[in-house]
Amino acid sequence: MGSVVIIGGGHDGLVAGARLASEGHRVTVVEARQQPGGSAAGEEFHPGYRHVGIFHDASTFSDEVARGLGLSLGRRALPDGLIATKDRSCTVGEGLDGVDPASWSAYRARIAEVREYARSVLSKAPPRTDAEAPLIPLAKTAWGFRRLGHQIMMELLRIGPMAVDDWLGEFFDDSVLRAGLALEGLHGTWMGPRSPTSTATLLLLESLRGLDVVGGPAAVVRALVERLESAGGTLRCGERVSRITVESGRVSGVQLESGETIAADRVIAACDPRHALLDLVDPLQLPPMLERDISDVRARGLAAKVHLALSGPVQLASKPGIHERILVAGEVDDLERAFDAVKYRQFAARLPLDIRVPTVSDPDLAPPGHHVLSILVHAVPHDLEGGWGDSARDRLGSAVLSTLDAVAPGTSDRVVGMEVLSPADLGERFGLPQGHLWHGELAIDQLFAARPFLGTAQYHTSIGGLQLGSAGCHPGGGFTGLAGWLAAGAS
Amino acid sequence: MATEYDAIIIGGGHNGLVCAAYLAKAGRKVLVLERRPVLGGAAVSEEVYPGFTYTVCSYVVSLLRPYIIRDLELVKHGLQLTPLECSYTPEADGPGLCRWPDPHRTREEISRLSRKDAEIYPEFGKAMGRLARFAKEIIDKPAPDPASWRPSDLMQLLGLGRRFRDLGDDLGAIQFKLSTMSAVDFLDEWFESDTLKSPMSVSGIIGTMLGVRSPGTAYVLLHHYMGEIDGASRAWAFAKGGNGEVSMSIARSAMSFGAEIRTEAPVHKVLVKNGRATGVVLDNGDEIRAKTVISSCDPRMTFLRFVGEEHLPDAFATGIKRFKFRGSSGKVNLALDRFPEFKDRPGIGPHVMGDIAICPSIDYLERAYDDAKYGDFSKRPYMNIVFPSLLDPGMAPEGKHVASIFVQYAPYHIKEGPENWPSRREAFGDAVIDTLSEYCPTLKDSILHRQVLTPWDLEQEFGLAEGNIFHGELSLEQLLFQRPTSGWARYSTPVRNLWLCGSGAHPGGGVMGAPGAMAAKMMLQQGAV
Repeated sequence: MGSVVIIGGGHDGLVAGARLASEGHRVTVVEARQQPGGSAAGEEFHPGYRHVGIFHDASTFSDEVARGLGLSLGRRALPDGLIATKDRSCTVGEGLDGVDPASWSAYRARIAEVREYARSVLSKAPPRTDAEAPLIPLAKTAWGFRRLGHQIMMELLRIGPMAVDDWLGEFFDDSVLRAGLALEGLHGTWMGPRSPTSTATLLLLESLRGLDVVGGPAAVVRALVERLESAGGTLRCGERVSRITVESGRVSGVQLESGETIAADRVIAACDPRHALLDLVDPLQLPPMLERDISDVRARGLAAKVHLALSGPVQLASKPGIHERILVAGEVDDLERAFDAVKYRQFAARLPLDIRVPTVSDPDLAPPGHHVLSILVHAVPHDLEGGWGDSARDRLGSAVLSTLDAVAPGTSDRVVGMEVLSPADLGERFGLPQGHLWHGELAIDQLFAARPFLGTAQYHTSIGGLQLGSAGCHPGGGFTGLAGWLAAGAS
Repeated sequence: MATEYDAIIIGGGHNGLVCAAYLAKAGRKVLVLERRPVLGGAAVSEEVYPGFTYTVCSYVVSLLRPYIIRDLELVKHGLQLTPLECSYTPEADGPGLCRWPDPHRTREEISRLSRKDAEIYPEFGKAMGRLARFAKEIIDKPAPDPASWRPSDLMQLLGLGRRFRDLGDDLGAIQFKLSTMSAVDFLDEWFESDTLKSPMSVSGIIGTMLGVRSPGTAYVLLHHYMGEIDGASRAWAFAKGGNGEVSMSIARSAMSFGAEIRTEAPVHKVLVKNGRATGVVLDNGDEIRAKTVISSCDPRMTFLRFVGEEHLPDAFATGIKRFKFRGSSGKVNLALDRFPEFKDRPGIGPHVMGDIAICPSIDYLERAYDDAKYGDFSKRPYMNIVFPSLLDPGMAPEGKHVASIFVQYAPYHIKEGPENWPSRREAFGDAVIDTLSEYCPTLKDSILHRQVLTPWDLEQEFGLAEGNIFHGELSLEQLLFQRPTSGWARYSTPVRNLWLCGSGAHPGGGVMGAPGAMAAKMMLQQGAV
């Protein structure tokens, strides 16, 4: 068995490393930060308060990967989503409330129709599509699609390109509900609810989603590190790869910033594919068109992250009680307007918030009686006009607090600690050039066989032994682990 | 009881007339019924103000299929096309950009904005030209049904697949991106200058309630490279006499083959017995029988008004009700005492002998869209202007001019409600004139008459549902085999002997005549008429 270096100890890197180590390879995972997990890692953001990952939803983590690696994860139903405005709320999930049950089941039924097929496509490497591609895998993919049956297939072709609000409008009249449902599906896109093709990305999320993981992404990271190390893999944190070395068209290893070299006959770049190909590889080793193809990948970060340490629970005006998953998006027009601002490199005064309160199920994350709010803020431009300085960051923090106070009055009075991470901060912390958590926007032309770009979706590159294996690859967004798993399995 | 016809065609717009002409040419006894006193539908010329002829709604010819011109001998019947000389994008304070048929001249113009863009522009044109040939394959044939197991569909799909692979990897990748990306994202991969990208991107939004940054708008860029007016280089042409003359030449052709055409004959209902169309009832109560009824009206009017939901299968009726119209544009026609010169390039030169686009930047276009999204017309709209009197002096008295101004966005669904458009009409007209005056400072003093058509007017006067100029939005999910709804994209309908031949059917809108021609061919092929 050969030796493998994996660049990046985020969840995909750890999955790839754990898989290959269990198969007997000599694996070294090199992570630039002091701790593994990338943006999935849990961190102490204020003394005594921890969050469970930047992207706090672990419900998309692949069962297949968990089973394949023998991870023991506590799984549970995704907490109900409370969609709240100042004076109204509704609940989606098991404890459906304020939503017409018939419309809800029609909506879920439509998702269920495509989910199994979508999952089967998402958990396999996409077929090649180039002119020399073998026809059988292509035909198989087409065949699988046709086997959905005329009605479902036509429906999928109809709704996929639609704006998510148009599609949701076929089920629901309530604009608040539609905004709440749309919000989660817009993560990782550069779109608003009125952007065509945003139905496809909501269906992608819903297809990937299964049971939640107790402890969130942070718990998955802990399990992965344990698995990697127990299988004999090496994890080297606080080390940065400066170069991928190539000899006569084949990868020969990596060089670290310290000058040390690690020999390997296989290197998996589980970092941003653009960073891997444009910064780490000698340009002369790459085909001339590749630089253009990879530069064309759109990866405009659209999310910021705010962590709040609270001295007490968050109390929603419209629905008192304890809630673990809260979606604050206003009405569809509010959500769309928030996205409008991004086009002009601004952020709106009221921001769409995707909130988790991890302390509801894990009180140990904060001192007794205290809480942590993990807030993914949608519609924040990476290229803010005037740049992301301290005052811009403060303005962002204030906008989030005032949005929050409007739906949960008094929240800002209970803040004992706060961390605001702009897209630029996320970029700097996790090595993402434009702050995009998944290394590439979710968009129809950047998915499946075109992720990261056409011709490179099978996890291989033109350099022998150099592979890509991060969220920038198929199946992309969400916290799935599938890209690392499939890259490790692609030989 | 009138004589029995082989086919009655509802609507004397260009598609209805094309369909009639093909059927009459094949020896069928055809009757065209037009509600208005003039033929042409939205391709119509009218003397609204004495001495001045407006090309009232549509105003240029871009994709009129060459085979239709040949088959129907339209040139013999009076069609005269003058290619547009230039695409001019003025700036309020700057030289603006002219794109000419002559590539060297265009290159010079672009290199003032960006040397890099000037280099790439011809390369881009070449790639798009090759893709346009691939796209023609799609618009010149009925749409194959991807879910069908019929051998003919499968063969057609395989053929398309093979042609796609024949494009090669590089062009294939571009075609793939074109199919779903936004016009701006797509152009960003090629060009850097906003002044260049902005007028290029705009073709993606014409007639839709989408912005240039909305995914799914890139594919329309190809239309500009499908121009077949006089070879590959020019996309648009002006018809002598305005677009009404396009319709009239088709009508003359149809009549020469024996078709009968009646104006001021509004249809009230399609007669349906036992799931079969048997004729129509006019507003005046007259019943006219025919073996086949063909509607060139939009799907909503055809099925929900003329046929009635009770005669339709549920799934089909749902599909038709979901079909999105959302008109987003209006039209302003002006009679002018003298030519309103442009500030940055004064005089009547070749630069104004084409189309003039008011779209100084991408953000300008996007802000115009933002206004519309929340139920208002754009304060500063995108405009596409042609001065027909420069291309055909017969359109206005000597020394005087007419201007045809396409305006977007003017959303049908304004927040006051569409029925309140009449009270907003003049404010909308003012916004257009005020905006244009920034480029043509003397405009206001030269206006003799102005005609403002809001989407509400387009619906009321021309029967375009929600004022959509294409009989239904040309969004991805309403194209090809889904136009107007899944499984019914081949012109037949669930009502036997009732067919569609308008822009609400594949391949959609624009003055191209393709739905009318393909519907006729399909019916003849299947012995349906």
